[in-house]
Amino acid sequence: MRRTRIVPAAPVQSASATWSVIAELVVSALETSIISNDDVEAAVACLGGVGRSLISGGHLDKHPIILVAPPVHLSIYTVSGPDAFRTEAPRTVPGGSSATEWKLYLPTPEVLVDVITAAIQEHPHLSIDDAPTTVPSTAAAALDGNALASLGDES
Amino acid sequence: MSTHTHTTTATRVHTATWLAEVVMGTISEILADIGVDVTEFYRDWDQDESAIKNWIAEQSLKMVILECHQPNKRVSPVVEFPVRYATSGVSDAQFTASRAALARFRTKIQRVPAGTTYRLFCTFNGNHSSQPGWSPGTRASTEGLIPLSVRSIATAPHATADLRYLR
Repeated sequence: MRRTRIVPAAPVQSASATWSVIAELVVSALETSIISNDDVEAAVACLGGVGRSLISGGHLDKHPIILVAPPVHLSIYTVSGPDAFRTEAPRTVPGGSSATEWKLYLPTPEVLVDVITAAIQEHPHLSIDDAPTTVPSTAAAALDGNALASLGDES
Repeated sequence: MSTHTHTTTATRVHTATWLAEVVMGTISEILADIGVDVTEFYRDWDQDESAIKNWIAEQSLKMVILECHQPNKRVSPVVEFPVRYATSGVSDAQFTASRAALARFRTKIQRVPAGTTYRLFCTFNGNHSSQPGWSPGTRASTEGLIPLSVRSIATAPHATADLRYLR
């Protein structure tokens, strides 16, 4: 299930606060699964610096961070500038309880390639490769109670 | 059928948040681009971002300065970020950032030797609040350095941030 979340950044909130929202979106999407919360939080924590840099440079306005955790495929963007005032805080992402594997894909603007590559090198769940555009069909077809419960109010 | 309008009044805090973000993002990209280790900058991000934001909000911040200290004791490049406040308190300026111009600017800065470190300074217009992690310091001399450009990198209703490059 493909989801998109857009997080208001500056001037509504700082890069640090924006990164906290993004980190929480990723962690909460997987917290009901069998995936270790500690692993997810550790991986997200090591991205704190580059995450803030991606936000403050406006890079996430155009190129998302993508969480692939079948059946979840979540693209997270930011919105900066005047449009941030018109963007509501994003809702948590349902559907991740059946996920058994996950990877977080980061955009790599040329100026930050080296620091992002260095930040992710020891983390098997972080990648700068192109994210798959779909999740595996078998996983995508799996029933997920949270997702069903939220049908009708998801966008 | 109902119609909703959304009106937000930008405050000094919004201006400060915006300018602090653009300045911090610019510094992080300059350091990454010229090959300075950003570990310390990333570690201190929250306190530095907060300090710059608070000082802009109280309109005490005159300038943020990035100094790069090379192993041979040479201090270069130096990048200054002067902040200008709207004389009438608030202007018609919108929240803009000159990101394309900043990308072009970075191409003018040469990489520095391995082992180069950085220091951040702030100067003030009179009294200013105390901020965690910041203490009085002395800037390196800029004698002999040539200012190459002054440009606006970010605008907001209450203030504007410029960039001046010395090498």
